[in-house]
Amino acid sequence: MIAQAGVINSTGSQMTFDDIYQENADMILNLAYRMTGKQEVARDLTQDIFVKVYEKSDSFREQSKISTWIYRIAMNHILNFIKREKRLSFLDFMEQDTKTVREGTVTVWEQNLPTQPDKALEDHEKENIIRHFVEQLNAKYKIPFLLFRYEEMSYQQIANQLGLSMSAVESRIFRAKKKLAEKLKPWQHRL
Amino acid sequence: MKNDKIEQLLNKKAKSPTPGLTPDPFLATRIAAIADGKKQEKAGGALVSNWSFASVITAFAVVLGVYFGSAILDSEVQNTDDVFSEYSQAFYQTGFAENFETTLDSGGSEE
Repeated sequence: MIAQAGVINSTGSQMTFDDIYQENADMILNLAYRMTGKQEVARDLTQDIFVKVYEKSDSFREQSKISTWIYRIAMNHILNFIKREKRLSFLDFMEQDTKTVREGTVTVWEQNLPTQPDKALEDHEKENIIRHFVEQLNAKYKIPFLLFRYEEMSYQQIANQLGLSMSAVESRIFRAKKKLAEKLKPWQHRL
Repeated sequence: MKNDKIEQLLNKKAKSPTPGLTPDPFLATRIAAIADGKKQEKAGGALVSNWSFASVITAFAVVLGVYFGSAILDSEVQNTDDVFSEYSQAFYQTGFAENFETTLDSGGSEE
């Protein structure tokens, strides 16, 4: 266990769980937030990820960087969450009233959509609109596109991460762009 | 032309428009507590299941004992045998009251 024994990182120094958390929490929380757009969800995911890190610390191999190892755990956890999300939101819908569900599912991008019509959009506003529409895509297209556009991953890295072939990744990203272009048509005069 | 613009926009890599969040500085402590709690829960669960198993076995043994005990009491089986009766007669000590009774009985019969 990290907390009791500590782990030796790649530079040879001993790290406690608290050290590991302080060093990586920012990266993981913001990764979860970038991928989900929901603050509460991102915080919950971060907690789950670090619980996993704490429990799996015995399986950490010192050859790799601890941040790389944590990033891999986090990415798997977040991607699983995104794949399950639709089913979860349906179950929530069954249990709560529509308004509560709506409030819980609004992403930061939807909240920040530009409201002034016919005003030239700034770069971050354009990106916000794109991100809002990416969120509406099926997870099959959304995940590869997100990893490509915002996580600076190559097609090969995405293929490895998702267990897909390179051609499958290319085709999914291509189709994601096509679907997005359709959705962005009403906004094209402002982009 | 405008479609090209959208295409260009979508082809490039970009910085995420998501604002930054600050992590909770105390989460590490809470996580350690959660994980340790889970571990204790598991250990406690095993202990409880051991205890409950032992209790069930004990209760079963008691019930079984009572059942067999009452079955023996109710049975018509002769529990004494000749050896036992010889043994008890050999060691049987007559008491003062019985001797007195015998004396009285014999006195009465003489009259």
